[in-house]
Amino acid sequence: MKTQTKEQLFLDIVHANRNIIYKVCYIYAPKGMIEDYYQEVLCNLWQSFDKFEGRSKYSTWIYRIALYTCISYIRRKRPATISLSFDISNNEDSALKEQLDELHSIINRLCHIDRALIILWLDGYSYEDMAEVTGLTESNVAVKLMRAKNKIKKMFNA
Amino acid sequence: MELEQLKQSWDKLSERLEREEVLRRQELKIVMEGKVSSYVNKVKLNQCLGWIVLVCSIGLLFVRNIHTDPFGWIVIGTVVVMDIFLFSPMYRILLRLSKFDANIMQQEQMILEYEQKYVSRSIVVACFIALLFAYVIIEALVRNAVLTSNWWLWVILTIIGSAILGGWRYTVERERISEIKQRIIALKQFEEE
Repeated sequence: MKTQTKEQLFLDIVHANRNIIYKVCYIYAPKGMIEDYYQEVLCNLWQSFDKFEGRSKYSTWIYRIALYTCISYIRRKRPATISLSFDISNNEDSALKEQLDELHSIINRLCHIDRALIILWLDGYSYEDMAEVTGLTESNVAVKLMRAKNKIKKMFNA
Repeated sequence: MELEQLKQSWDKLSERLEREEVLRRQELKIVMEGKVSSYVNKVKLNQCLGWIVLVCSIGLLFVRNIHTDPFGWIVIGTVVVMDIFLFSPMYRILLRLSKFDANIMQQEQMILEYEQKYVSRSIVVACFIALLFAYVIIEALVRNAVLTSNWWLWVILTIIGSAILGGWRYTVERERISEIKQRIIALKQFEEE
């Protein structure tokens, strides 16, 4: 694979799936640290891009790396951080901001693996894809997802 | 908020992200950072190897008992001087670039300066090596040493080998520099858009 083509391919893939990375970071990162998490995920994606053999879909691969990176993220000091209007909820109307804050707070009360399953479910992934991303079996995914949904329902009712 | 409402909020977040173009800059930056970092590591490795070869060469002068001959010391001294005056400023630019603490215009300026210095250094190094070969041949002829066909064959093979190796290294390095330059230009264009 020629370097130029590889880079372009990477940029295209990542750009097409940037929502996945952002949403995973949005859920896992503490407030004000989404940008750091996003960069970390991109770094890991870039580093593991050569090892990606194309056995799974790009989106599942990106989900897997993003989830593992966010879960195991240890903050490192970066010399230069780009200041962007990155926290999307800042720019939106207050109703959406409130809605997103609520979504964030509810999902964040779940454990890491439940959080991962819920965001995959919210994105409409099949049990098979969820199993591939998380490394669980499909039946385990089904059970855990059901429990996570029940936990959320309980949170609403509490 | 029920599960369906949760899904609606999620979809709204997705819709909003579809319009978010600023993320593109992050992606471009990561690719550029990766390029610069890997290039800096390669240059560091080359520099380390260079110093090891230099130390071995000094050792060789003593092992071969030719340390009293000023020629070897002149060659080694010239290499050290070239390293200090030609390579060090380039290395400083590269280190500064790898810190990513400069704005995009400065980064572009730095890579252009680095490229110019790299071309100048390559010309000086090529001239130095050519002079070295010329000296060895002329010195042998002046001494009226018995120059066998084998001797000439080795000299010619070494010259051809050096030229091929040097040319290959030059092309590879220029390609790497050019890749970094392209990434910086892509970032710059993105910022201008």
